[in-house]
Amino acid sequence: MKVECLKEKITTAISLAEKITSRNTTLPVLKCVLLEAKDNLLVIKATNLDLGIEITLPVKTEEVGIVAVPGNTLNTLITSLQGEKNIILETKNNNLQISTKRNKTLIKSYPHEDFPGIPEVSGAKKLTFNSKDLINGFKSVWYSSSISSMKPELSSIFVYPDNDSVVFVATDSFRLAEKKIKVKQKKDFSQILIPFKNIPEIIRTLEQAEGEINVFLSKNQISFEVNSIRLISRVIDGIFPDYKQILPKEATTEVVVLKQDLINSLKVANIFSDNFNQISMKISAKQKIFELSTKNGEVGENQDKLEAALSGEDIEISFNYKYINDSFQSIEADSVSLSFNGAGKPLVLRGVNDKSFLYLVSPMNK
Amino acid sequence: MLDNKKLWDSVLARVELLVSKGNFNVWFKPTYVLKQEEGIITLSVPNPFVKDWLSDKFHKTMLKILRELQENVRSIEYVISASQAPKEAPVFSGHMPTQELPLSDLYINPEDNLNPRYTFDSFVVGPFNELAHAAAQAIIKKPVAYNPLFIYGNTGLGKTHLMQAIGNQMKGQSGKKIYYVTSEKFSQDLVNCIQSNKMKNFKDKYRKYDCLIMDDVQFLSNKEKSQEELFHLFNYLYDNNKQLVFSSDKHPNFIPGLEERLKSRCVAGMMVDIPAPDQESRVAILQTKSRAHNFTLPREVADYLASSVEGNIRELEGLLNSLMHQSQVRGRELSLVEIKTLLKNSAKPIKNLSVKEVVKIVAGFYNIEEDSIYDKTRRKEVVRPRQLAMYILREEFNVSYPSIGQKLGGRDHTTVIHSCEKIKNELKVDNLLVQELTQIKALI
Repeated sequence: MKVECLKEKITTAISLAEKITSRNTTLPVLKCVLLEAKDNLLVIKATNLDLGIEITLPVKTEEVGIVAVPGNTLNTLITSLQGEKNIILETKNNNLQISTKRNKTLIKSYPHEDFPGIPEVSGAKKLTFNSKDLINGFKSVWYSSSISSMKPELSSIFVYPDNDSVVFVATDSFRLAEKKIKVKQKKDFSQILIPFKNIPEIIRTLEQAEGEINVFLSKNQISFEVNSIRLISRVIDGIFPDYKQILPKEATTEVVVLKQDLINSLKVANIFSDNFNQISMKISAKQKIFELSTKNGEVGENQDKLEAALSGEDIEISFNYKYINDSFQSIEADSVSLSFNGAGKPLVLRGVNDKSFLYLVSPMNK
Repeated sequence: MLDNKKLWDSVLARVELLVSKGNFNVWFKPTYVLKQEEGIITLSVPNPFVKDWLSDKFHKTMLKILRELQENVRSIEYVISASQAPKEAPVFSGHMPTQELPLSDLYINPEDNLNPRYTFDSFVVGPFNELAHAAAQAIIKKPVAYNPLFIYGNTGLGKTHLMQAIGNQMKGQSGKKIYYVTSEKFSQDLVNCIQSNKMKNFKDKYRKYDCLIMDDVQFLSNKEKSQEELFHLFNYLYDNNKQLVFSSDKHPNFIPGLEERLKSRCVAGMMVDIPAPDQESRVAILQTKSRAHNFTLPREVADYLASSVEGNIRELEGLLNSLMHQSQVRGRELSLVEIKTLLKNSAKPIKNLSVKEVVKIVAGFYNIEEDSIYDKTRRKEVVRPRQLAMYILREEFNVSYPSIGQKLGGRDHTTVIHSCEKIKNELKVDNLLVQELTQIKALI
């Protein structure tokens, strides 16, 4: 093969594809990106068997052909070539030669016959999403997914339509994040469960696009198609737990506090938290006390009182610092509300005046 | 025929010779044979990449090897399913002290309320439920062939399984809108909608289905508003040629507090009774269930279990579960003697009551003197229990008419026949008597 193209274009494409190559060395060809020169098109493919990507670039093709080279090597090389506009990729004795005006490089190739195809999503349902909505939804909840592979549906992000919204949910059974995103048109699908491990790559790819993207959904796969990129991911054919039944309907104690105050306080408190990151909260509306305290036998202890609007019953309860802190990345409002439901019951965190995001944290056993 | 695992292991052994180690580990190792039917091998693959790879590049090779091992193999089909690989133990580091959210595992599809575990594949058909199974198949092949289909039978005989299987099968075939609901959920829904003033939503919700499956209709008894709504819903769906499937623990005519118009509509379609399973079916059920759990159940154990529990399949399952658990704990198969001692407490022994004991129970139930049953007296409060005692002896214990007569105070066998007939006829109309009889049966 022999193609010539703009370096800038191919750099973005290769760096996207390289992220998806396999780090696992069982099958070395999976570390590669596959370059396929067709009629004035260069198709770049990569897969780790969980995700697959296919990027099509318009190029000047002088000779069609196909080659597979290690993604890491190619990416580092191309990003390091400074100040060049055009770049020529050609095969020499089945290896890949990359040449610019000043530079000439030869990268050893792998047998491209071993490279798997990127499956087509067949029998799929077509949906369109705004890329910002999808990214926002994924980013708001994905950190709450379970890292254990015991229950695939908990290691996934659950997406379903609800009237004029699309709802994103993730939980690891200790905390749960739910984000509702308003959409213009009601979406016609029942549910999607995407493995959360694929989410960072999906977000990275979607960030390349503005506006609408096409999503094709079938029983086992989902594909995101944007500009010239096609990204496919496995979807889980399972059933997400009926989480709605555990969302508290009322609250016995309510606290409203400035988000930044709480973050600062938590940060200080965490210095003295124990091995389990335990942070105790003490709330008394009558005495107007909202106190965070931590205690570590080896390091020391800390108490911190916060300015807050309090109402309801008195309560003392402990949480894992990490779980509480995680939620702030999804709360945009300046103030957060904490709704308690008595000892031993989960806490609901929300941004004040923001109905779209809900975060549920289970307390620690005393 | 080789079993799935052996067959596939030998295929893999040969493939391993042909491909590189990396290729083998990535493409072949995570696959296994799901089932083989009529020469079609269904292969489970972990993801679409593997599916495409195998079907594009190795289909012919695999087929050739399969044919060498087993002549009748015609083709291979690929199914993407979650890997069978042993799952890692839960990681609890740092999480331990935090309570878990009470998320219940939900195996029920929220759209149609069906539990995907209930399928016809796991449904054991025996002489006892042949008719019900055939009726179910008929409405799947040709919806509204019988409308409504009404399945009744005692608890634990597989009514729910059958109904859910109908739903799952119909859904798989034609993509129709199916809804499974228990009568309890139905009335709960109704109450919620009345409270929130959303009756229109309620009506719209239930009327959009192509097939409505309602379980345990008997719980609607005396719930007038629910029955009224069901009545209208019934008419609407029936008129629009939609399938209805009902189940209950007894014939609709014997459900107390069910309105006549509903009763008559229920009996207008196909009524099927699921009686208690016979010994052979019980053995077959045990074997199917144990196979599903990968547990080998020796024939004589299955026979023993089946003979020790009559009627209820759920009870059979319970026994089997405790048995599997025990043998897992002990790490070996249990001998029949051990099983017998194990089950001594849980298994109900077959009843062998003397006539005298039955009379005692009946007399005790009606609070009359035991002796009066044997007497010649024709007082009304004694006649009824006496007749009932005769009926029970005849129906439940198969005692001959003459010997019943003889044992109950030297009566003629025709008296006994008359009594039995009388009770039998009354049972059809007298709900109170039906209830009394069930209560007495429970005492025996």
